[in-house]
Amino acid sequence: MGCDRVREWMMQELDGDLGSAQRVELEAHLAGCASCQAEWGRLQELERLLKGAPAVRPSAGFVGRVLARVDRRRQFRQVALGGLALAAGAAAVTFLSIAPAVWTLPSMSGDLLTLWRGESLAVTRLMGAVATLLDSLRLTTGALVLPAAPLLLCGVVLALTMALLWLRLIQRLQPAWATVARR
Amino acid sequence: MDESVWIRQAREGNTAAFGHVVRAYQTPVYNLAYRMLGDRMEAEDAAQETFVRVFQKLDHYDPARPLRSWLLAIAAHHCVDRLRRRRPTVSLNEALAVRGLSASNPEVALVEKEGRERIQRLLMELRPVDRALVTLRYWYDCSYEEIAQAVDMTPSAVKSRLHRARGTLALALSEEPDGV
Repeated sequence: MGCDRVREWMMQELDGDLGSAQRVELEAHLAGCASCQAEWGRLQELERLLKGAPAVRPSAGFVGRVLARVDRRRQFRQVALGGLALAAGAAAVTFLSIAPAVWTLPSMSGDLLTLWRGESLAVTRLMGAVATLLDSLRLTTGALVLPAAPLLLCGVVLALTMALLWLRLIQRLQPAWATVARR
Repeated sequence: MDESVWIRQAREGNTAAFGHVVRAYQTPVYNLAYRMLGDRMEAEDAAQETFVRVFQKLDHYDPARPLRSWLLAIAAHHCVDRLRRRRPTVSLNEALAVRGLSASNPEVALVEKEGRERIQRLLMELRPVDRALVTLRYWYDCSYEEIAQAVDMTPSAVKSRLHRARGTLALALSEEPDGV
């Protein structure tokens, strides 16, 4: 019988899984093999050492420290969510303020050109180019925006709602921010 | 009070109820972290972080699974991640760092400290996952199936690695000045 097989039996014996017939064979092999006998001695010593070692306990106050950490993590998440809401609200406010300007600016191109008509040819040409660009923008947005008007309306309503929620969340989170700042 | 009541209340955000869970399992979680990381301060941080993650994941806890097994699995995963983020070699001083000892009898404390350091020296011979296997087997009498669930391995892989780990530890023990 090979020593490798016997070593496997040693492990099974330590696990309490070795059959009685194999245990007899193991003991017979150990009686005649000094190397395996030494190995078995080391494994048994290791078992005694590990099984006899007590569990290491944390220092006093561990529970309090854990609960404090749980509270801090919850506050951090609230602040992080507040930051996201702030960013979303800022984006919504930007959309609300720019959208009308983008929509009306192209229609002002004709008025702008009229204002500058009396000036030099270069300025007139420049304003003509600007007017052409703005008209192109108006045609493009008209092609895209008009078909999507209901969707845009929903977007405006959503942006208004998010802005209002943002304002409300900021008001609620002010005490949490003060606590985090102190830490 | 029943554990399931604590868990249910903790899920609703009741940190006082969660405190009961922490009190009940602080030693198993801390001991596992210490055996895997080899440093008291790091074990304290890892154990705290484990409980924070447990609190955040309470909604995912399956009551059919023993709570201890679930906690130790989270602790083991977290400690393995921490060890992977560490620099490759850990100095013996770091491995043996033990702070915050207190005992009424200094001699008893010294003997306990030496014993603890000896075991920790041996455990640091192993790879991090193998340390988890040995700790779960010897300190918590976990079955191969429980250990397998904790470390995401098959039971046969756990058995095989545990046998190899025993061989490594036994050899390291024999090479110690006062070993067998």
